[in-house]
Amino acid sequence: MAEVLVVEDDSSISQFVCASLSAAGMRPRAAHDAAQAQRELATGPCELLIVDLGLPDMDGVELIGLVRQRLSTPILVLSARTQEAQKIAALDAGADDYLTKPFGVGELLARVRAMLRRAATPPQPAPVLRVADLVYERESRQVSVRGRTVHLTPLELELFDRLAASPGKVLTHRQLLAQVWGSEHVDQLHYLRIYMGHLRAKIEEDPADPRYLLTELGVGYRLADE
Amino acid sequence: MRSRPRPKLAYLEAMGAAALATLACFALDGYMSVAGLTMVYLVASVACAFRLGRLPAVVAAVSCVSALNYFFIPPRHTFRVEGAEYWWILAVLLALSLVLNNLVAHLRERQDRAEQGELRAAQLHELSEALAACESIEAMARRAADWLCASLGKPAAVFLLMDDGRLQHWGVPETEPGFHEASVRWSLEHGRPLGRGCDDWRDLPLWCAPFARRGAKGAVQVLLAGRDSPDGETLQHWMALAGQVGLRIERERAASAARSAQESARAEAARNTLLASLSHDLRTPLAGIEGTASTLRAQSESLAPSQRERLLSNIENEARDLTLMADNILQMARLSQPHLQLRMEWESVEEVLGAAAARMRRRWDGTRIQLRVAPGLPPVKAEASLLAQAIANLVDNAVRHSGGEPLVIVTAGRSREGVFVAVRDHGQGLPETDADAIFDRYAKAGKSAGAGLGLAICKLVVQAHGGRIAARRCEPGSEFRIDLPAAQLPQELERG
Repeated sequence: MAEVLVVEDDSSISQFVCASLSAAGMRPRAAHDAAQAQRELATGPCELLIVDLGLPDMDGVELIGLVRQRLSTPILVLSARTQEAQKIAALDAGADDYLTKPFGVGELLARVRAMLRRAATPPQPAPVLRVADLVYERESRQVSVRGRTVHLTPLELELFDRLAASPGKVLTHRQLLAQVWGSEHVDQLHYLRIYMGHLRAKIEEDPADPRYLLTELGVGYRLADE
Repeated sequence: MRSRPRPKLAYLEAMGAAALATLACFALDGYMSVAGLTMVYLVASVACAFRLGRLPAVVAAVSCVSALNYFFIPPRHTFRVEGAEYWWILAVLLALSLVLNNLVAHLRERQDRAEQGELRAAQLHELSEALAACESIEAMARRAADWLCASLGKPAAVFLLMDDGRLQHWGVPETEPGFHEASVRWSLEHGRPLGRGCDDWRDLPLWCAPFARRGAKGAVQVLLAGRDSPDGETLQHWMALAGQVGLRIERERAASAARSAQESARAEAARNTLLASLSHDLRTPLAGIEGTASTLRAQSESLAPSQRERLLSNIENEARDLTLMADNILQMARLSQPHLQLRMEWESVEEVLGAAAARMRRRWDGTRIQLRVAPGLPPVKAEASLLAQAIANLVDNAVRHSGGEPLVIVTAGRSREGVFVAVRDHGQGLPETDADAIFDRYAKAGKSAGAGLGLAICKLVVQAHGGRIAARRCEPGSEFRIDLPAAQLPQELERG
């Protein structure tokens, strides 16, 4: 059974999150502030961390930074709509995914399961990635959709490869720009927009309603994982 | 004004006139008595009075009398006069010439003054007109300075004493700001003009007159080069101009204060209306949620599973409406701030539409929301979440007005000035009233909850992005169209 630590100061949200996690067969523990969360992390096992950004004693982004210094435990961020900028900062600081309040239990469980699954896969990824009709052979860098091979330019392929490195995980604009174009280009979002447009035009059946290359508006992109 | 000969020339002309009269008299000599010849000289002398100034005309009169005496009064070719009659003739000629000359000069000076006065009145009027067209105090001061420079033909400046005690000035390229400011402060403090032609600081190369009104304190300064020294009447005229500048600025200040008071009263009224309509809009879904939840708790066992399912999804939907409304309220507060800074980024229209459509598909289960995005649209400069919310509001509005089986079509493509997004529903269409009025903050078509706020947000968002929004009737239904300007991409991007 997966041990999950829920760091959330609002008791009704904490209760609903813990209740749905235990109903889904996990073992949640609740912490109401950052200090309690750090004590819990020091004393017991933890396979997943759910962190609310608005904690009473510490900024959630700061807590994530502290945790990341010692642990690689996957972190899911909960943010309110007024915390858009902090949400991105949290992802850049090492959080793995986010949910914007209000959210439904379906969304929550799907994210948690995907994160646990990714954490469980061996560090050496499988040589072939399959997502529905999309096949990616890592070794030969071959992408094919619906049985057809797709020809990608080197930059498009680089971008696709980054997203395919961890399917389902959201990568922020900054992370993608730094990894594909280099850290001096992290502000040049239009590169990313244009190449993502090209990539979608080649891979998606309906680029306006993407099946594989999903948009996290204002945050980044992720590759669908199922 | 008539042109007058230059002074030296005028004296020559005066003597010339006497000489001319003498020639005429030689011609007439023999046909006329001395009295007749005298009349010829009188005509010449009076003509000079009209044409020349006061002093040249005196010279002309004296010349005429001398010439008459020398050439025609016996004994001729001497200045001697014999006989009382001739003395009488000479005296009358001299006296008449001088009196007429004086009268004419007097008349002419009066006429000149009247013309000057008219010109100055016209200038005053022109200045007042020029300032009346200005819309702010700064614009007015700048206009006044420009006008003074142009109309007086000398460098001029307008100074205003600001609320914090600083002096701000318009006009005059100045080399010594401290010196100019000191003169303005002195004249304001003493309440009288200074500089050339005044009682104080008459050797300064400028003239400076204060205007001190309740709403406007400042001064007008005119720079005077070399030995340029205006006379008393000119200075009086300049004082009047300075007074006019002060008066206009005071009026504008009063008017702008009244305008801002009116604006804040309007904003206050609008806020009250907004709060009242919001609290009503919030109550509707809340009543639904509370009622449904209590039904589920009290009568859970007697409800069929399908009924329970429907009630639960009602709660979810009401909560999603509340979320959209809360987002709208949040953005309304943000967009109404006076110095709003949007977090603009390069965004893909396709992605923004996709996010808005996904949100609305979750809210309106079973609704057909079709996206038709033209391929290869350029990215736009936008704040993604705001734009997505505006489009979500339009789709939400379209679904609510679609009736029966909602079909909403969202189209995006290139327009002449950039990119457009159109949201089309197939409902009853817009009311006959003014289509633009529905974007006004609280206007609502029908009784749909929160829709008025949603459309008002759309308008604010689109305006904040430098775009336009419009609504029109279609057959059937209506279409809302957003036009966003194209932004120049920072550099040429090639397909890599």
